[in-house]
Amino acid sequence: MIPPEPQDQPVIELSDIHKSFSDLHVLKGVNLTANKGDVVAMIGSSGSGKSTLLRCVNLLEVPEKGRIAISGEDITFKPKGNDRLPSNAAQVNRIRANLSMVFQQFNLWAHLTIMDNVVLPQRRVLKRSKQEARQRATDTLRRVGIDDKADAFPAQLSGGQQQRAAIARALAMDPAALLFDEPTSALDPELEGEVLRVIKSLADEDRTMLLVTHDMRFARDVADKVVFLHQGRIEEEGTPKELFDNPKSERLQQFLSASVSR
Amino acid sequence: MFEYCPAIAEQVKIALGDESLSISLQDRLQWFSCYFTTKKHLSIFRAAGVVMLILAFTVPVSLLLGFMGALGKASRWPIISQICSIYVIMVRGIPDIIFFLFVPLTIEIGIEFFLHKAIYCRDVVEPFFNGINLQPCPDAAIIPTQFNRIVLAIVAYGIVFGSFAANIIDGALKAVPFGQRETGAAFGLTRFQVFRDIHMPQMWRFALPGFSNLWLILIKATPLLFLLGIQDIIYYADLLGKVATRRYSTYPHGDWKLWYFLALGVFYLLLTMGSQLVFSRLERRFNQGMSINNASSGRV
Repeated sequence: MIPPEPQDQPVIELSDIHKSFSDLHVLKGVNLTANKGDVVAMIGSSGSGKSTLLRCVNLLEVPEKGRIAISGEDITFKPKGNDRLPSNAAQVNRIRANLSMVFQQFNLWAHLTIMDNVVLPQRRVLKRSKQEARQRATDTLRRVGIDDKADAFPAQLSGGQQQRAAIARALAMDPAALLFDEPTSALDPELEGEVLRVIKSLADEDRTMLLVTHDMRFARDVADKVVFLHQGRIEEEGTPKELFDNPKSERLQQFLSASVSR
Repeated sequence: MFEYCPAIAEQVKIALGDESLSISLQDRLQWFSCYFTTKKHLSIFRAAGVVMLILAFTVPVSLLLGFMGALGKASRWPIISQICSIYVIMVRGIPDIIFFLFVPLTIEIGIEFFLHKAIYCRDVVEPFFNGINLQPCPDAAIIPTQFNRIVLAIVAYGIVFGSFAANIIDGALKAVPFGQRETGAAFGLTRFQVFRDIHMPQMWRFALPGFSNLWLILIKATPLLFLLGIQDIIYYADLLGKVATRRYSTYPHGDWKLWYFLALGVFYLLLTMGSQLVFSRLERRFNQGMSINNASSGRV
């Protein structure tokens, strides 16, 4: 038997992920796989654990049980009390550099210009030269349509522009996968469109993406696979067509009808 | 340069004794130029220099101790965090004067003890503490030179103001939104990089108002220097302002204490006002881009 080539391995592979916050058991054994080029959308009501699951992927939350493998590389843990921590900080940083995240609240660094926001992680983490990092930043800022704002500070931009800058910052890292944590939830409906268009265009480029969203129409539009989380478990998963047109579980039917009527 | 001084001093002295003689404005100016450059007056200028020197060195020392205290308080190791908490609580809670009497003495005795035991006097039979007095052997005794006193002053001020600085830095570090740091971590920056490139640059704007207060309190605490045996500007102002009689003084004058103390007040006021200017510039610098509200008119 021929061992699989590295590129054939799933970019993101989570198995049996458990996570609790003190007494609250948020994730109760979740499996999730994203192959290269997959766009996986995670939907579910508030508190279903979808954001926590996303944050487990790059270890912003450390699951107390379960396996995480990024591009075939297993993250190693060491026990700490009743809990555990990643045992190798360098490994965590390497994996995080390869999984760029876009946050709900944009989280651009407020003391830096847009250009410096995009340049900083490239310089520090990928050790790119100043010139190279600026070149890449200019490219990605143009890609999301705000290259004219490079010298502005985040607070001088609209929410939509800030989120596009955050996407440019993530893209400039040339990551194996992009993680989106409700990227449009903090935006006015008018500003949502510009961000959704950018994400859609990225999805069309066959990038690997993990996306937490409340926007069902958008999930149907961009995703190859949709995962419905309910109370810390995956209740149902499949293609957008299967899930949205023909939901099997009662929970999903309820959730979808509530979402549509909203 | 002032070779005319003996002549002019003599001339004015005579004029002061003889009411029929008047002193021209030029003579008066020359007299003052001589008066202000006497040896005694040079001492008061030097003392002012010493105050500024001590201030200049206290700032980095307190900042260093402040950062160590603040970061230590948040340390993962309980021993370090407890030591730092105790430092911040204790030093802030003790009146400055007591501390200025206590710290230099402790440091002095500590160094003497160390020198006595470890280096110079290992052969000496007499104990360091003979039941009544602390007696370092002659080689280990610290001679209280002006330099030693200044160093002790900087250390004492550094420790006291470092504890206040630690509290300010601690609060300012906590005031930076967590999301800013988390995002750094999410991109793979190391803990140190997150601190240096994100956390610290964003901390200053929260710390500056506190530092500005602390700096003014530090300036105003410099008259305590006399506690350390440093003859500071207030000592000299008192000395020089006293009545100088014609019989004993080359430059006789009446009781000028009022003017000397006024000059001291102006000196401190200029120092504090000047630093306010610097602080407002720094505040503008560190608030750059932080919030759209800072660019607006500032009205509610």
